[in-house]
Amino acid sequence: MSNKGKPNYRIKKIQNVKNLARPIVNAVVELKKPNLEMHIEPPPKGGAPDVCTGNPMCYCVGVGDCSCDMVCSCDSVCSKDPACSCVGHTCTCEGYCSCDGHCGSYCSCDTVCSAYCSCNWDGMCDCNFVCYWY
Amino acid sequence: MKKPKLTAEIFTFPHNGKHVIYAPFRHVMILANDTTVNLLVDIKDGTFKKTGTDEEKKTIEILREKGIIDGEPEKHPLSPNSQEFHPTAVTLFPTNQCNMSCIYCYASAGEARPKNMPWTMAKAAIDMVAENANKLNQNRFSVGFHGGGEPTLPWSFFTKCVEYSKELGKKNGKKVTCSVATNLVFTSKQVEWIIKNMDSLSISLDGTPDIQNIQRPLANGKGSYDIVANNIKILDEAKFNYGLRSTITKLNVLRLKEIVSLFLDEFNPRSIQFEPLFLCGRCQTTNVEAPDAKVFIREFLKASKLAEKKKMKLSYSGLRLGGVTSTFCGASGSNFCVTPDGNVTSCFEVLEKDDPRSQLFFYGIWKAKEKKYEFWEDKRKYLTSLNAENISYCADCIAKWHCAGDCLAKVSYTSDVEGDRGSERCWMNQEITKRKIKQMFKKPPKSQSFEKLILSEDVDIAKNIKVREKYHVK
Repeated sequence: MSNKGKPNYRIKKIQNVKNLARPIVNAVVELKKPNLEMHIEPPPKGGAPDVCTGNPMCYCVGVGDCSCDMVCSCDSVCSKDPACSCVGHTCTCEGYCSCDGHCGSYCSCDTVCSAYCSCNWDGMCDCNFVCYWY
Repeated sequence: MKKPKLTAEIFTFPHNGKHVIYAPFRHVMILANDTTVNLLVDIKDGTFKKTGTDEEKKTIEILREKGIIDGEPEKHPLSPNSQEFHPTAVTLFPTNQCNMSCIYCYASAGEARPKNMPWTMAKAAIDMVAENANKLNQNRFSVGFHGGGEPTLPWSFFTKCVEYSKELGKKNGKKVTCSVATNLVFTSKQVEWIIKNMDSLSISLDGTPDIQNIQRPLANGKGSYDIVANNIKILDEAKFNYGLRSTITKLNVLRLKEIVSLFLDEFNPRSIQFEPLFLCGRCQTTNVEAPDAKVFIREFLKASKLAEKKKMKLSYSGLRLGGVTSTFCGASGSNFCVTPDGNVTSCFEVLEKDDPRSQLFFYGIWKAKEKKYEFWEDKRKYLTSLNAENISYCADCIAKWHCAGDCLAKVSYTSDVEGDRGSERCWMNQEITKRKIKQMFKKPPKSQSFEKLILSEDVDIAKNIKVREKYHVK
């Protein structure tokens, strides 16, 4: 059952066109992109250190404490998952990962999931599918 | 008007007298007829001539809307080679000894001369990742533990490493993530310590008591299910973060649905992973057999549906349709793993110098006298080059950006990493990817209403009906 030669799934011309001679798209399945909207909370008035006020992704907790965990583009992941953190505008999860099938290796959402899927607690990419029928 | 231009990497295969056109970077799959495929070939070759029919206009419109033609350039995953190597995560392999004697153990744990990692070696690795986190201004570093043998077996060494890492993190103002892949053969006191100190666990459990006790007996030959199940229940009470991982052999492949039900009825895992057995290590002496690839695919997809109904995602490393990646795992030069001997390897499965694959995966060594690690950057760079952008065998494969050339340890065991990578696993990864894509084109039953489906929790089909209603499709 091994491969019969190198796999090839590239498009190539179909010689004996069996169905309609006109192009028809029957259905489209699309990966639903996660909500990447920003959830930026403004820093409280006064008392915020420069580093916090200077960074739109950060906000102040108490007096003088700057936290950026709750305000990045993957807010729902970053704020809930202790294995995730915001690096710049990206949510990076370095946790126990099973997305590569190797227990114990590490991955990060931004490289593995690309920008389009969210990252589960274990670094697995989670993407929903939506189907459109034409 | 400008000629349309193909702007997506696309793959295709026949399905029900039509063709699936898949554009992984556009996150889109299209089911279309022969003429649409030919139209795309013409666009690609620059020989497209407009006929102006309504069908053609609509098809072009859909292709354009989905970015397959005339879209923005696609963004590919970052090549690991483009990044300098300053690991902020280390995986330690504390021992080659084990308290179990699994019939398929890839490392034949417990059979060789006992080796245990010295503390200075572990400390230096932890110090290094902590220091790198400081240098890179990252707010965390990670310390993981994995087999060879059971990584928690040298318990005082293991707890010392975790406690030291947490302490170091506290001192440097960093979060520290500690995780371990374990068999969970612990005393209740040890489980309590785990709950208090660890962030997550990956637990190996092969299914029902009869399966677990045959495939994963204790070193004394007795069954392990009761110990493991009791300990998982303690973790559940504490709402601890863990995943379950099962090795699938010929013995349990027909019982995957039963295993999913058991795991979800009895326990509360965050993830379930099924991996078909790869023949190596102790398999050679126990004669345990790998599942037939076709049977694994069929049973996995059935079990996967059941898991989805119970709101759980079942995973297999060769089926990763959700995201795109250029590497199968960190073995392509980004893992920093230390064996008990002090070898630095990128692969969790290649730990011994006498394994011929160590030539590929070992890229550094612990220098005991200098108390530091030496890295061989040329070797690591070579590993990073083994990614989906460069593997010629996978260049035209539909699973190229998902399996990304598959597990390097397995490929290098049976075939040539730079040449013909054909294997049963490669075939399986292609087939399971196509089957999963085909599943997504399952037409919703016309008789069922949206509301009924929502009530029956068949949300995917319900969504589909909702979309049909929106587009007034009969």
